[in-house]
Amino acid sequence: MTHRPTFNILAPSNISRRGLLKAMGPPGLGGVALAGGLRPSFAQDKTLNYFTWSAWGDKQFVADAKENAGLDLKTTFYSSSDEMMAKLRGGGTRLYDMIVPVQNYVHLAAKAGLIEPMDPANLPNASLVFPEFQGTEDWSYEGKLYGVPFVWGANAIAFNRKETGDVTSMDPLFDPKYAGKIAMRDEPEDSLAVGAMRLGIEKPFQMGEAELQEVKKLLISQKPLVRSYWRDFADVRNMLASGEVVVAWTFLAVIAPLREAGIDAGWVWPKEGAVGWNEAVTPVKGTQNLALVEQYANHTLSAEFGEMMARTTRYAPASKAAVDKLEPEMVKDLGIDTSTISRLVFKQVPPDKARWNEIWNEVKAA
Amino acid sequence: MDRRPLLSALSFLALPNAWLFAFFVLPMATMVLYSFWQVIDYEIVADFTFRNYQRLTQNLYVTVFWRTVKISIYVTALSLLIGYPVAYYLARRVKRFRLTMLMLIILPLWTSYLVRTYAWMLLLGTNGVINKALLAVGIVDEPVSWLLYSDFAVTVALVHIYMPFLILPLYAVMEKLDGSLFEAARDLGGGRLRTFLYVTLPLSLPGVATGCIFVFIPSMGSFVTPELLGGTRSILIGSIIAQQFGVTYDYPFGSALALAVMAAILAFAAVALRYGRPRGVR
Repeated sequence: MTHRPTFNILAPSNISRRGLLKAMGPPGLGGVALAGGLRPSFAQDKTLNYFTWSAWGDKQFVADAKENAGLDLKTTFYSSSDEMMAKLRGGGTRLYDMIVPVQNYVHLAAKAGLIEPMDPANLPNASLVFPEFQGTEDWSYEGKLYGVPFVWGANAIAFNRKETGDVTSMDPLFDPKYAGKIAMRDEPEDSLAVGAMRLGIEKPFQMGEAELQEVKKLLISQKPLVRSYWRDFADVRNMLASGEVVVAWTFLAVIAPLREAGIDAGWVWPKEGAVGWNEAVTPVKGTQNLALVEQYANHTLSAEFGEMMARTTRYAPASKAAVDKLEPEMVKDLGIDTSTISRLVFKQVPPDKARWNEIWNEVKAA
Repeated sequence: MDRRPLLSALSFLALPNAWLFAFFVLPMATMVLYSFWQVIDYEIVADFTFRNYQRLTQNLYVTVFWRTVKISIYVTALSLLIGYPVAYYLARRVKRFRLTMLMLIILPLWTSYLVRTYAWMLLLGTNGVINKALLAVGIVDEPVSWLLYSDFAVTVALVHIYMPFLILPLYAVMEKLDGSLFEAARDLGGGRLRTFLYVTLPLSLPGVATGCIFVFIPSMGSFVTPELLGGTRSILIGSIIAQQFGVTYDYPFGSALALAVMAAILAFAAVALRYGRPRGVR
């Protein structure tokens, strides 16, 4: 077997940050490196560099971390799992302490040496989590635990009830009646899965070339109806709020701000299915603050955190103890019922990811 | 032979040369090298391959590439159509408020590129300023939807964003034109139009060429504006390049795409400079 040299863009992947600083020579040089952007860490400092989805870095989460866990979160956002992987691989492991991966990227990130396992003993609140989210294969790799989900849900349809009435299926996303008033997500996994579910393809994330072509055809035929493909969550929120679109494939976090703005925003997992996910706090490889990351991960599994999260974002806590703290009407409104999980198609990394990206670009360029 | 002047010239040039090497030659060489490598399982593997260049010939990339070239040419042509009279007016007609007017042209550059792009969303949206005005005046019965999320929106915003880069070099050239040439043209019986066609325009061509290059280059690489203002078909090559570096971690293919864009830009610059020499006056 021939040995193929591999390269990490900013530093060799097999060298630790400490090793890198050591290799750089005198402490002075290490200091220069730190000033140049390497992830700072100091023994007494309780700051965690948090690379996450915008929903988990909002001000109420930063305030909660400070108040209830004594931690300062310094947040940087990504808007897709691909972006998270690319930025970690491109040198981000030296910048961040923890991330919030979607379950389907955990094995990939662990295999690529981008994340650090945790000691289950340091996550006592894991016992509060619904059994469906405990000890799943998604979150373990080579016998090591990389996280316990604090949240679960699905990407699905948000709609302006005044314009569309109640929505139960994907029909409005493909209905000429809403031409120019529909927004779809600019992300291959989500968008191609929507097409696959619409076509009744049983395993959307295992599609072969022929099925991909069918989905491509469907999505190209949908294009004249689509106002815009959104990449940043703030963009789809603005589009729904300003009336540019009345129905969108999006994240649940869009609902709360729309209702605050006085819009009768509805949310539905359509009967064809929705793209399911769960997320957990995971340490980034080489963090010097592993204990603090575990402390924060454990905090996110607490009943108090889950309750706060559900009330502020309407996302479903994975913690049963958190759900128990919510009023029955709210539980019903949030759709927090683990028996409905069967309706979700949980995200997986497609076998030929590059091909999925290409197919999605072909849809956009058509 | 006294070598001191040569040595002093070389030492004088050492710093700029080192700068050029570090920030131009080295990154370019890295990009060329990467473009022949490949990515396997999120690892960049140093196996020499032409695969990235073969991928460039796929229908998808050729289509997007030509769309980008077309929009960049529209943006450049429109910037020239609007910017030329502005530069001419500033350089040849205005005396008192010239500095103030120049400042007004430069002023938008002090605002973030992103803010200027978002500003166009407020203007062009279904409930935006322009639609409201059109409805109020009664020109339309319902909001015009193609103003935003369309090639139109992308072109207008890019013209607005990059036009100052065309006006400034054009102004600099026109402002230095020798006034006696215009007097001579008039003395020889040339009217305004003939003077413009046979004196002003040929002499201003170097400014036109430089300005066009300054607009065409960033237009070819733009991706934020097309993503925010473009419709469902507005994917440009800049977005695909950004995707390779920021999303799919395919630095080798991203490098190959970037080099292809660079080749297009060099070709455009060569043509612009070839036809951008002052001519017609001997």
